[in-house]
Amino acid sequence: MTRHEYVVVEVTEACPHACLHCYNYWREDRAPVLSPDTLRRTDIRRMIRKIRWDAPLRYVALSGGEPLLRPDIAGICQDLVADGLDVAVITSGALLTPGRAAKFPTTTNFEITLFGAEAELHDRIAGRKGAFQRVLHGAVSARERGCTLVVSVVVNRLNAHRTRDALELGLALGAEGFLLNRINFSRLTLGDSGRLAPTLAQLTQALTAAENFAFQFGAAVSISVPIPACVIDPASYPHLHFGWCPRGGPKAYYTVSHNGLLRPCNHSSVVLGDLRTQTFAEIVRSRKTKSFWRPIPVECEGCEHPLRDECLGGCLAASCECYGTGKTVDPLVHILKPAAVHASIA
Amino acid sequence: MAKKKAAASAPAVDLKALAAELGVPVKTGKVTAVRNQYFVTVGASKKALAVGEVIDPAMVKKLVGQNVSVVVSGRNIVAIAGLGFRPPIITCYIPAPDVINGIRQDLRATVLKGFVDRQIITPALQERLLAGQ
Repeated sequence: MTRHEYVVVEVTEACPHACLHCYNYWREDRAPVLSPDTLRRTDIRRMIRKIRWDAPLRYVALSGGEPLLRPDIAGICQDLVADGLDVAVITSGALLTPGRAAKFPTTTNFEITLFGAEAELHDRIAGRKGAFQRVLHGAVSARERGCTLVVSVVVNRLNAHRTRDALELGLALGAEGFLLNRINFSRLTLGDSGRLAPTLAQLTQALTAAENFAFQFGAAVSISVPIPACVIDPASYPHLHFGWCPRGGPKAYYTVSHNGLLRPCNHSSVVLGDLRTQTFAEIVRSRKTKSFWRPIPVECEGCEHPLRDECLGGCLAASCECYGTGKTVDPLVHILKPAAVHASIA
Repeated sequence: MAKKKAAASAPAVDLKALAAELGVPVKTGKVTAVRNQYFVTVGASKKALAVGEVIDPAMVKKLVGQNVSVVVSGRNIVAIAGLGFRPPIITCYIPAPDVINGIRQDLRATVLKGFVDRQIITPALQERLLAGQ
């Protein structure tokens, strides 16, 4: 048995939005909702059961693309809940209507994304006019169904100054958990970092807003996408939960592609194996998987920060996607603290 | 599924079991504080504690000046007797149940009203939200 409790399943590559910061490596293709090799509902249930032979799985996050594009998404959730699993649907929320929400198990966790509390700002980042209004209705539909709502705010240069507003809107809509995700770069967005990356001052402003929000409302705010400790010291924000890359450990969330290929996480395009022909344990214990998680950025070797061994340079997958190697620190460090990188290498 | 779970608190740590698992001895260290920064000195090595994120500052404050049992693995102090560590919650991307918390309904209603006043949330949506609470 491995010790993994979480897994992400990307049920489709299709998405009706065109978010400016989208990191998905297939974003430039217009994928169909169901391609010939997309896992069908029964395949997904079978594959998750197969993973459970090897791992004490308890939590499955259904993602995409946009998972609500699949007409059978509620059925997939029902199957997993019937098998005793906790289920989250990671969605824009724009396609959730009261009628569709009624088909989901009430224990479903919906994670929806807000980029701000104004339609113009949200729609600009989402790349689709009218998205904001649909997201509001989607969030309300989830709450009416009695499902748990978690709001994810993705911070970039355009909206960092509106973080508090976005979190408060999530709270007003009934969210019980909050993720504050700074933009995470891939090779498709790195070239646009000048336009998309928040400045260090903006990131600090966003975290301060979240800290005050968490304190004032007793809200659980998770800084989910790792922010390297040399960029922001988590100790300055005691009411925020800072997340780190699980690096293949028990809290890793290996990601099943729409066609059954297994990747290290949602951000990575690296294929570790094929769940249609291999077991989960076989893939997770393979030399390829171990060597994926192993690299420690050269910039971190002399790091003396007390959180050094949690941080290990931020998002390993982002480094691999942007630079082709995990031996380089998270691109966010290069963008926000280039002097620190040069000093550590020197 | 436990839908509403409080944020993680410091768990009790069985130092002997942890040390055995890691294959290291339980050592003794002294907790000190310098201008709101906390350290544990084990032998000749002084290690800073990441108070606020991994360790509850109120708990470590009580241990200042005392000798405590610690488990050190590699460069890290992994556990301190009487303190325990709050394990870092790893939630990159997915909304783990650990970060879901109840919100006071009166606070939520006040914020909701603010958005209705700003005409961001319509009265019809407000009504649906209030009915669903």
